Amino acid sequence: MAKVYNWQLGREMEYPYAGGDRERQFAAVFNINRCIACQTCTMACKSTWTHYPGQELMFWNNVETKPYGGYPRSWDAKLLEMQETLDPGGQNWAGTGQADVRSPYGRFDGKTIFETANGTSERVTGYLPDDDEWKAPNNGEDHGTKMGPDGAKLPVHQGWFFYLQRICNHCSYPACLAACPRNAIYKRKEDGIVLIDQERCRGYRKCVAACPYKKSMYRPTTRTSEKCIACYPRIEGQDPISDGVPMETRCMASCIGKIRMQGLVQVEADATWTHDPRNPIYYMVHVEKVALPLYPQFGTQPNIYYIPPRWAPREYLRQMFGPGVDAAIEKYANPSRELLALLQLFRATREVIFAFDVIPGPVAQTLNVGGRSRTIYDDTVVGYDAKGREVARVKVVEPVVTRPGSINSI
Amino acid sequence: MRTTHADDDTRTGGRARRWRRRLGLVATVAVVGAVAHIAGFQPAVSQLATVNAYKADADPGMDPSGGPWARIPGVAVPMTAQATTYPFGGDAIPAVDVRALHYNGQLFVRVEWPDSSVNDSTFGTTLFADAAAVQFPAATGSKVPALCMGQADTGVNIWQWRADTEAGVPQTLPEEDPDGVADHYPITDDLGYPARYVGNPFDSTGAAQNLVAEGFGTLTATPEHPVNAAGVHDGNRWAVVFSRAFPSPGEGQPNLTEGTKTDIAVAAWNGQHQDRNGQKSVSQFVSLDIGDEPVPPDRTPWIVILLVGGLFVGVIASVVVWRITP
Repeated sequence: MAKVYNWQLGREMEYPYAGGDRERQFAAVFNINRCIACQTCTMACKSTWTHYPGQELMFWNNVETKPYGGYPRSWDAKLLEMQETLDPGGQNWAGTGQADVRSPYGRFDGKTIFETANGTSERVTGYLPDDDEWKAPNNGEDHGTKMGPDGAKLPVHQGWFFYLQRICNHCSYPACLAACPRNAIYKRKEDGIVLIDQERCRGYRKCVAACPYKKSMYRPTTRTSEKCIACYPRIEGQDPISDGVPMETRCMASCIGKIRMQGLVQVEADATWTHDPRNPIYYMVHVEKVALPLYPQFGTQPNIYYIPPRWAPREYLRQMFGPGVDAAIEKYANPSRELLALLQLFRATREVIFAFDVIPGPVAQTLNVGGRSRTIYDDTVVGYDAKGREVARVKVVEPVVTRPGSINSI
Repeated sequence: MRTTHADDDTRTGGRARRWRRRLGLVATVAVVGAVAHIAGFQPAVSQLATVNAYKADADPGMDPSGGPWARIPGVAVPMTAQATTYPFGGDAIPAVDVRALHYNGQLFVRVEWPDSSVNDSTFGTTLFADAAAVQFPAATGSKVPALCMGQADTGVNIWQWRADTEAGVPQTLPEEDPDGVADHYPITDDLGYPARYVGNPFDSTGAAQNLVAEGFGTLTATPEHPVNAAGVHDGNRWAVVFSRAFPSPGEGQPNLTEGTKTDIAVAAWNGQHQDRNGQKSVSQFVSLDIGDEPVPPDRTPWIVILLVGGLFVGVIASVVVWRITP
């Protein structure tokens, strides 16, 4: 085991491989507050990559309803329970964040899925779901719950639920890669995308068992495992309409709820992010800290970041997104001028936005929110592609357009 | 102490019974020994570290259950759970029976091992296949490579048979799962099967794979498919025959001929135990001698005659002894 630095945990951790060459990392921010679970992202992915025989139960992108939903069933609860069993009472966060890119959420004092596997015959703690567990990708849809002293229980519609949008996290320290005895999984230095080499894979399913997010899936018609490929031809700018610059993935670009923004961030050799506050993903993750990783305590340093839902119990959210939840929700509920402007850039263009600027505008409105006075400015946010060209320009106040009566026909 | 006639009779009768038992035992041992010798059965691997590849005078085919295999001495090669590298484990199949022969420039190796369950489908995330493999040094006459996948300067050649690949390639969920439903497959070209598109050997109909390796994690299928394999399960045991033509098909694969002395190791996987990859039972290398000794002739009729004759002699002898004993 090598020692690597995991900034989401604020400490070094053990991983089978030392860090390699890294240039950029695929990353995205998903705003849970905006999602309506229309599954357009799911179908965009399905109709592009997984509609062939043997991929019937395979959803590289899925949207599940928390707390009951899970694809595969109870994937997170099962692993959390395993981790707690292997490190009883120890899965805790401690220390205070140093408010820098090396430990923004403090320090995790528990054990990662690599560390709980120490002394076992496996490299990673995990489990292999059976086919029944994959058969209901939207199980528990819209089942609300209410947190009581014994946790969350039915009956429904007394409390809360939220949608969780999931794709492969293209982790900085992928558990799938760590577990593969074939060296068939690799992480690209140019964009951090994690891929399974379909020529080398021999279907051992160690990656399926190891991935804590269960985003490596077995395909029985080829006897190999497959996973989200981050639409890499689009990320490479190979799409004919991309003009050579990276385009967002199909699931991102199809999001009608405008909840997703995808980016590429510069990374250092130790997988920390290079200071770049003009990059929208960097800005939301490291400057505002409004977007948080999913189950960072598993230790893979996942790269999909979530703006947590404002209405769900904080205790539940802290377990899911770490100790940064309270500050993130506060930032989202009372955003800065820059953040409010940046949130308007979501889905404003299909090109990956590498930089953004905010052009100050006049006061649009003064509000009283939760007893606090807030001023909304009609700022303008501008997004730039990989070549520095302007690809989006949006104002905070959405312009009102009145349809002329002449076209108001049914 | 005075004894009675009755006591003498009792003592005399006891001696006679002991005599008859001894004679019966000797006769039985003699018959069993003769049958075992003629059948060519040789028990312990500790006394037999060499698998002799006998020269056949007819094509043995790929059926592991018939032909000349019953006439070839089986070498019991002990197995242990793989404990050298991740992923460890295996169902610890205690031993495999290994036999070999050659015919017309083709080597045949037969491996048989106990397995009460047939696992020949991998159409499910938690389903794993029964399998077996034989491993040879990449080059004969050189130093013996590391047992586990060889090393950088001394590779290995592995022939693997899998029950699921022999059973064929499953096609769609509805075909495999009675509860499976799929509305429509809009496209079914090879582009939608990346593994097939790039030539992954698991996505093929062949039961055998020919692989080369030079260390852990380097196992690679060769582009050519020179190895055949076929397996039969009799309810309690798998028997698998591998075969390949003598000449080396390519780099990393041994060139064989009559007179070749090399090494062979065996691995077996129990799919019921979720064995795969390093989770397997493995043997050490044992010698493989491709010689000119012919396959022993079929002595089944003689065995039957000897058995019947032996039993007849035994019965007669017992009757005679019983008669002449006072």
